[in-house]
Amino acid sequence: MTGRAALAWQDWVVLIGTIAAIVLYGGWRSRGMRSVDSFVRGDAQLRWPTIGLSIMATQASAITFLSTPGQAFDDGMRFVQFYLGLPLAMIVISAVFVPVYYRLKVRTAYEYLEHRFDARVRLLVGALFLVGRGLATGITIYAPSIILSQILGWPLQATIWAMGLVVVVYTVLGGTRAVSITQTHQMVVMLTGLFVAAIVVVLRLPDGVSLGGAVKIAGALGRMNPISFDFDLDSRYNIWSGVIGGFFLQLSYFGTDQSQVQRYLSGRSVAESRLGLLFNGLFKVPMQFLILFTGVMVFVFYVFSRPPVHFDRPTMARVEANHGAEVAALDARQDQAFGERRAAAIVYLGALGSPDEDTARGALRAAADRFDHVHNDAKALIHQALPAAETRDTDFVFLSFVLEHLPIGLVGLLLAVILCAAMSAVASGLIALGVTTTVDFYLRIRQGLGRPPASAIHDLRVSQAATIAWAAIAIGFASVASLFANLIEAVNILGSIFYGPILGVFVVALFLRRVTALPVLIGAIAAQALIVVLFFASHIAFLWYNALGCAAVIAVSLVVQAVSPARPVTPQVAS
Amino acid sequence: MSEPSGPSPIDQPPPFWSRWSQLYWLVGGLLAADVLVFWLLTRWAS
Repeated sequence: MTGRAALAWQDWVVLIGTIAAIVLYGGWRSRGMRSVDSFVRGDAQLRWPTIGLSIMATQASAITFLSTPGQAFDDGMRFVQFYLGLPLAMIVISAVFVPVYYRLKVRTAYEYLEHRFDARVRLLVGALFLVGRGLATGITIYAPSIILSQILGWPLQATIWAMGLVVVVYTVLGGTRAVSITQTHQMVVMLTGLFVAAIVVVLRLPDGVSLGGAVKIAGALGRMNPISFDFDLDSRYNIWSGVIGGFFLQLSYFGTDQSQVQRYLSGRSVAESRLGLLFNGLFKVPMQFLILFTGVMVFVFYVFSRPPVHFDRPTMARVEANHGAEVAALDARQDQAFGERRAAAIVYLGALGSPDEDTARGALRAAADRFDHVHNDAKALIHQALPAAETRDTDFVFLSFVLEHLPIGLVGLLLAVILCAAMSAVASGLIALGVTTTVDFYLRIRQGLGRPPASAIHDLRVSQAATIAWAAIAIGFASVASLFANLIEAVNILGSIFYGPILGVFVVALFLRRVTALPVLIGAIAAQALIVVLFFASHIAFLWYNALGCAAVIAVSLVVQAVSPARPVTPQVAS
Repeated sequence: MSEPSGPSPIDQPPPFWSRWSQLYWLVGGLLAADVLVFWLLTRWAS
């Protein structure tokens, strides 16, 4: 366990009450589903605030609230640049993608590809989506379950199944309307919890440390770095990779990933869908900034309040069982290093604006280096004692702070935030997988075989069964995910590997009207091969894969089209 | 909430302001403001 021996009963009331109220209300509001269209688009009745919050909730998984503050604690605020391309992507999707989807009355993004090209392209891209999203949804269940199971004291498998089953019940029974409505309230809980956490951490700074002073300490120790203009292809986060690479990644995710497309296609009009997307474009960057800033303030808090030697206390306890003397020695060294760093920080605050400021800053950095050295030694000890264990502890930083330093009641609220985030992302993934399987494969293949249309209830039941099947696959994958090393990072990078070529297909479809199906198929396959080669043979940061993959599809498609015999363009293509 | 009788036209203007391009400039302008604030913060804190 981290922190308290057990949650207070008031925290359990807040946690269970919040989750139950949201799920029951969402289920009640979405009752009476009668057709697959209700399941897919919620009868297209949603207003823009619901769409906007639902879009934000889909992207905000539990990892957003578990890992992001920890990332800022460890690496500073530069990760915010990852989102700088998002507002521009929202503008392009709002102006170009949404009108096309509405004009063709498609239910999935991949249905559009058949209108524009042919069934082969639709099935290829739909299959890529199913594989990628199915894998990612399993991870979306697994990643927070590891940490929540340790915090709540539940077995890992029970946590995975509990989270998965709650989500699948309201997703299957209420369809996309239930998902969107629950996500709206989940997002309100998330934002409330986020603001409360940010305020509490600032209030918990010691007397004499102002907000400005805390920011200066964070800056001196390399945590206040939200913008870097250095152009370096190997650097994962700078303004260029964020605006350019991030733009293509976000364009692909929001414009072509059915888990997001379904959110805004359930709007009651084009205007509502567009406004929902622009709402996301306005508030996403400030929200991520606030999450990261909270993590930086947690870092400053631990400059003045002694942190554990390693934030992953359960793992450290396992190490201590057989290496008690080494852990005790680390503890003593950390105690001394902490005292020196704290004293240096106080001297630095006193020297701000004086001629001694640079000297004091240098002393603070030197003390911080000695403190970090002890932390690295703790990681090395974990690796030596438990070679298979994860040595990074950044995912545990924020939860440790919440459990140990937030008042009773707020702990339950923050745990509800994390569970809400996990459930909202899983729900979007599951329903998108179920809908794509039904619309792009089952109904399309049925049509291709010349079968007559089945009843609305039959198609609805197929959608629900497909969603349940994907839930079983995702939960099953989450249950065995611990067998694979570094799986989470691998899946994130795999997502970027596939997103570029998929986006390229859509860009060709939307903007290069003379390109036909075969050239784009060849372009997609060639681009995919190129990105795989770059992944294995270069050090280019993964955000650039999206832009390069997209550009490769366009270039190869144009070349193949140019050398191909001319073919007539269909009326649908022209539209 | 009252429900409309049918789907809206594709080119329906936004419910506030008169053109979509104005909203796009708002989103782009806020992004530029974000970058400016982040840059000033980076310079001031470092």
